[in-house]
Amino acid sequence: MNKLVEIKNLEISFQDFHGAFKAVRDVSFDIYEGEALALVGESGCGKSVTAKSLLGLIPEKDGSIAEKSEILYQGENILTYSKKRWKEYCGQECGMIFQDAMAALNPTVKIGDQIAENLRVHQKISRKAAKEQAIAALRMAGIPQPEIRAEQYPHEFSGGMRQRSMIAMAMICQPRLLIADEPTTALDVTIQAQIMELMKSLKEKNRMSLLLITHDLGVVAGIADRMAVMYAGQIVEIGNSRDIYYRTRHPYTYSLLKAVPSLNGSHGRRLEAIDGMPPEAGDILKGCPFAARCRYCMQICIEECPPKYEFEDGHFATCWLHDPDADISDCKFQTGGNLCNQE
Amino acid sequence: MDSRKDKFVRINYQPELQRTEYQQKSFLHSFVLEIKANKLAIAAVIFLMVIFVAVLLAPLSPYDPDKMDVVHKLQPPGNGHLFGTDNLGRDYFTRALYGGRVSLQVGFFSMLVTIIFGTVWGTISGFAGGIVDVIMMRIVDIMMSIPSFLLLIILNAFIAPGLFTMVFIISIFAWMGVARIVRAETMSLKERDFILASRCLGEKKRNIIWFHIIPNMIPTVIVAASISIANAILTESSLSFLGFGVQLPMSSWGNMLQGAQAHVLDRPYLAVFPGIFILLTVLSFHVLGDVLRKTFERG
Amino acid sequence: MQSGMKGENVILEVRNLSKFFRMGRHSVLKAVHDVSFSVRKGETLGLVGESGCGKTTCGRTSIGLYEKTSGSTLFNGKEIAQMKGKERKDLTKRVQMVFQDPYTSLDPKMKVHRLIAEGIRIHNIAANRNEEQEIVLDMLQKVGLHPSYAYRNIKEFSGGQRQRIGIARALAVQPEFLLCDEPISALDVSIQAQIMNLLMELQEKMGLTYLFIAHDLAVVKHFCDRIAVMYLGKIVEMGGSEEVYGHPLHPYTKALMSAVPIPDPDLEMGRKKILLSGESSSHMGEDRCRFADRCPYVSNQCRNEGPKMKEVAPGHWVACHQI
Repeated sequence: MNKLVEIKNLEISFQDFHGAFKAVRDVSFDIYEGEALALVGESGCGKSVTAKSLLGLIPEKDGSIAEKSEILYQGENILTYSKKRWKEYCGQECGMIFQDAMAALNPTVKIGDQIAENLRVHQKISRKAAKEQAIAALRMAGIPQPEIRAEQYPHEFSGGMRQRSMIAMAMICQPRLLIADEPTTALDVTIQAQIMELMKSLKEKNRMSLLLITHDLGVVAGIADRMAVMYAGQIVEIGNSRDIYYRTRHPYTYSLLKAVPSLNGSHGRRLEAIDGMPPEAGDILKGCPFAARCRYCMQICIEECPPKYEFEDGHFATCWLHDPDADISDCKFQTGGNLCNQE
Repeated sequence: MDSRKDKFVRINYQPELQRTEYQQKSFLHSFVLEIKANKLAIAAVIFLMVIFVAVLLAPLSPYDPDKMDVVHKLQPPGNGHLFGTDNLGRDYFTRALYGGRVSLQVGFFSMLVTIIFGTVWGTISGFAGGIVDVIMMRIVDIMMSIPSFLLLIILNAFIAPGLFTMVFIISIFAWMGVARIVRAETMSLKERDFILASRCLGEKKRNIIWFHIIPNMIPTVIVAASISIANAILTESSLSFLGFGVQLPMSSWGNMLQGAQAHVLDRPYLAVFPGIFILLTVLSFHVLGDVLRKTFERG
Repeated sequence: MQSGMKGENVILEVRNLSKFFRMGRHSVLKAVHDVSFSVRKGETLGLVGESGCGKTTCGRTSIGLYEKTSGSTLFNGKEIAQMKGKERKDLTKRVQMVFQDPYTSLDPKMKVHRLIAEGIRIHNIAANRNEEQEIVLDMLQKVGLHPSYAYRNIKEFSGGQRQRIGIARALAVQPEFLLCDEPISALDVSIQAQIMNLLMELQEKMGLTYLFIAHDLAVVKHFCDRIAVMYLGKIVEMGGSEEVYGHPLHPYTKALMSAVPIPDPDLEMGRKKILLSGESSSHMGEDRCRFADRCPYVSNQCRNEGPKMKEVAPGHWVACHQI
């Protein structure tokens, strides 16, 4: 498989009332063509910011991407794109769906016109033809009676229908990469199932890549080929979904999987909760960011940042427990692996 | 290698509970920060402070504000009289300071009355809802639709003029705005979950208003207060200018303007000084209100 | 009396409860329509449903926070609507509530100790200031917070800590019955487990009874002894947790179960989901099964006549014509 996007040493910091803080710290990962990659983490871990940087949505006023960071889209660094190239890239090469569809749609413009508008920005196409394509896109997104629906305004749509029209809008230029930022968090489970099914089939039909940002490990299990777990602005574990679910290598991922109650779990058992709280944006972190909540915390964890260890093909975890010197006799998850070559 | 091994010893790591960086800043502290970030606000605060101190220290002036000295009438500024003298030879600077006393006092006390009455009216109306709310708000509407200035003049003709009658009649026509803002705020607050939680604990309505609604409304009320001072000063000046306010020989910025009318062509500074005082004071209170609002929004 | 349980151990009995809201001049929103259930002492009843199905309204109406339109709600055998004065105040001491949003449910102007002490003061539980203080610190410890937090401002706390403070406030008056209205859905994944464990621990220690409202079926299964599934203002299925999850009978329950994602790729990718068409629309429908528009097994009977609750197995009730 070819790499569609390569993200290298991405570091994003924000400036606010209290001072500067890093929202994303030295994140590197690739998105392959035609795959679904899930970025998983709790709120404030930097997953949304990472995704937004792919579309140049980091506000220049108070956010900044470090000089050394590179985001290569088909080998070209998008951070050095000209304005014109950005315009071509956004929407045509890369589309985005947001959590709150009502906020992302313009309430005063008809749905059909909004979608057609998106097409007309990128292609020389008549108003009428654009409208027809918009209706086709709505039909593809599973909206019944698209001809009538296209003439309606966002407030006349239900939550699920709005998310479907967002998908239609993002898909109309047939992007190579679709970024979905918590697309189903605001929806009911029955609607969530519908939307996830739609995204899965669209991804297969158009052979596009999908970057799914979510906190829901169940949703990830249903769609993702690979996943990356983020904590406090860093990727702590990345690899094939199956490897991560069944051969977990990082204590945070492990605890996260154990902390969610499951339908096939038993009733009344205590959940293995993670103590403490995730670090806040402004906290200064030395060593491993998870050290304060990790039950296997060692002296070295609070002194030095752990290196990356590789396990199965492309499965990495950053945790000191995989060091040969570490005592792993009481660890419940998989340990042992090869230390990656540090740059 | 041994020292390396030592580092891989399990520890019970309990980092500091406090997050010093994110300690809640006190209101005053953030207020000062907000003022510092805004040049206009610095100017406004300094101006208000200077005016306030000057007005307080007015008795230190070597001149009597009411003492006429016809020989030295209509002197230009300088020469022992900072702002010159008026048509009766009174020191204009001293009169401006005493006039400021009247203006600020009227402004402050009218604000107090307006805020207290408006808050009580608005909270009751907003919290009670239903028919009580409808009646109370219609009264507000009626009061607002009365051409107040005309009525003020008429009222003033009947009641003996003086500082507190001024306060009284200005407040009568100023509390409705506050009542409306407070009512809207109360209605939004009473739907919050913490009010429901309080009801669920069996709290009395009176205590819910007193312990939960009013403390949460203070920001809105403070902002309204700063605007209402400005408005009261303006109304007082207008009334005095028309001769219905504070009676001579007591001075106020408004009746100083009135006296300056006759000499506006040959002695324009007589109009300029009180005019600038009114303008800057009102403007400063508005700027202050804006800064307060911003502070509350951030905090 | 569909829930069919009588006796000493029923703490809250809700019979044919309805709550309508007037929407404008002519239309009426039937948020809760003819709902019956009962909660036994010491158990946890889960009320599950999608957003807008009326579960919150149902919960709040059944403990008397909202005035009901019709039906009856008995707390320890006494009609809540007829309680007055002292009796009513006593009820507020015995029934408490935990809210969904820890940011709006705590008064932002108060310090933690005053917040927790509010109920203690209202019900004169403490003889003096010192005793009040003691209870507050004890409560903080019970919900897993450091006693030194008592003198801090609410604004300094994160969502999970605020939820703990909210629980402490509710428990400070030593209630018997706790209405938990989506207490964990606004929290982060790793914090959710903490709060759930805390609630379970407190139930064991203090012998509490919970009415647990949630939209997450996995959480409810984990947490509740019995569950009631709501759809557009009606309970469509009710029974023991294992029973309902093991053998869901109502088509809506089945669809709901199958829609819940399982955090296990092999299971999740492999299983066939029942995808419902459309979305829950309105509460206005009269005299028909409210699920008829989305139901895959719909018949003419469903469109003409609302189904009654039937007991299909001991304690397992379903409202569907097809069963």
